[in-house]
Amino acid sequence: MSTTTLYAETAAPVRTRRVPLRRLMVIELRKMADTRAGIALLSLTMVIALIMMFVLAFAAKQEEQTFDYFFRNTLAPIGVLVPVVGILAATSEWSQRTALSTFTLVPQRGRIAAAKTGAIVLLAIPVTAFSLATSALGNAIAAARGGNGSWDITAAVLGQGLLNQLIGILMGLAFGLVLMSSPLAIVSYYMLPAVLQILGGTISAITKPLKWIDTSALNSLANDHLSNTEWAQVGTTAALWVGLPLAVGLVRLAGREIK
Amino acid sequence: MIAVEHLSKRYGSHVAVDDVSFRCEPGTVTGFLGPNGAGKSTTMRMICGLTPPSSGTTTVNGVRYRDLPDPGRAVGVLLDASAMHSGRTGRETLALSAQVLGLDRRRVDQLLQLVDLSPAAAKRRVGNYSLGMRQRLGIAHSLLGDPSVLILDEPANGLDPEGIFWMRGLLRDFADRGGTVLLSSHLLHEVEAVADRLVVIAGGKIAAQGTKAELLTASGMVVKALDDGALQKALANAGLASTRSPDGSFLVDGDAEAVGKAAAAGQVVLLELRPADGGGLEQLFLSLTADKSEAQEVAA
Repeated sequence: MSTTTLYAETAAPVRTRRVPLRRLMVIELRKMADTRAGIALLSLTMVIALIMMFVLAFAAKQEEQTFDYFFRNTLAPIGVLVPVVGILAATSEWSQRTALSTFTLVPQRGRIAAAKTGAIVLLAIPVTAFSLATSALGNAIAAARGGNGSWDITAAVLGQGLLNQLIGILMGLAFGLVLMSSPLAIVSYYMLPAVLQILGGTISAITKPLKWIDTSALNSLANDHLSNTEWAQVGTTAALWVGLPLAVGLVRLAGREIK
Repeated sequence: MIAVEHLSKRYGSHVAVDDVSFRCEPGTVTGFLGPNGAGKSTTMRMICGLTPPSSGTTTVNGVRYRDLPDPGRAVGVLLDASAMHSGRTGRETLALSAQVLGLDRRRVDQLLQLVDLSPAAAKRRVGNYSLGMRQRLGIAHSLLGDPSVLILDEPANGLDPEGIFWMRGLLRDFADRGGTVLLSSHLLHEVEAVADRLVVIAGGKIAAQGTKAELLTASGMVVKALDDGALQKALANAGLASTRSPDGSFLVDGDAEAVGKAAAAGQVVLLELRPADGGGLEQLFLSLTADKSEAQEVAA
């Protein structure tokens, strides 16, 4: 190809600063909560956690009603729904075609992916905080009604609860990034781990090796103390379900034509 | 300033954009004309770094789009007014981008006012907007960062005649203040009134480009005769290039005297002989684009 320049350059490039990544992260967080779907999803999550709390405060065995117990059991339903926020953070750019303006304002696609990842990690903090607040309320109600009411909770339970949320929410984002379609990503997010668990349950020969890649390995994060093997299984599972789709998703995003 | 050099885009064996070069200067409005599917949108997406070109380069203000540090402050882009989140309000759509650009809320209000979207309309979700309202919101969005370059793909789509008139004034004013505008359309009339330069694209190739005056001069004479066949023969004998229009008239590359002499020599009765004016530009546009699409059909 000829490299002759047809025209002499005249205008000087406009020199302004790149948009800071921190600001992009805040914007990505805002984008998760400023649409009808986002508001509905986050409200639904909170409502379900509250319902769960009330059910447990009034119906659970009184000696079991502790802060720790409420925390584990309100975090579980949140952990099922919040990853959809992660999925939509990635896929709505395509389904709503906002990618067109997102990437004309910030053409470095990797920076947007990084901002989304950062935003979703940040989202896990208020979500866990909400779960703590709900649990505190539940425990107070239970204590007033004669429940155990113990406020003891270990740092391990808190930290592992947060980690479990993070893995789930990042897995959602990664599935959204790689599949680029909301229905496809949501169905795959819930179905693929389930299919794997069914396989592991029926074929005894693969039950043991599956423990290293099956998402049920993450359930051990609810325990007070994890063995080294269990930590390793959490690591390999996260690498497969978060790391791999995230990596493939980034490659797809970099090469994709945005229409 | 926008510079496009030897730009091509192939999808498998299909060539969507074929060796396209043109340039948009500060202070001018460039009309990017062509029928649907001519490669206008693909070219504009390549300028904005959204579609990787197969070969060739594009620059905005002297650098590649993706090398612009904060593109929203340099270039205002509206590629598709329907590419907005339907669940977000009009104001929120602008406010999000304003935040990316580090602008305050007043800028959003200012632009909503400029494009005549009322506070009530701005509170509604974009999913409930008419195409004209989305187009206005899209134009407001493109102007947020006070850019020096505007790239607009079919911005007149869905606007009412008053809206089109308003947009022309806006773009003219933008260019007169030293801005660069690239504006695409498949309708000549839409851009004719505001564009200083025209780039006509058909079948992925540049069919013609130049100032409006240049294209008018180049368009020659319109001539019509009682006997089309005889006229065509007479023109050919005189060595005058001609293009036949759908209404039976010919667009001839030559002046009145040459055409008159050719007709006299061929003893052809003329019904009409006039310089191709605005209407001639239309004919030129039609003939250029018609030729290309016919050529494509033959090739296919």
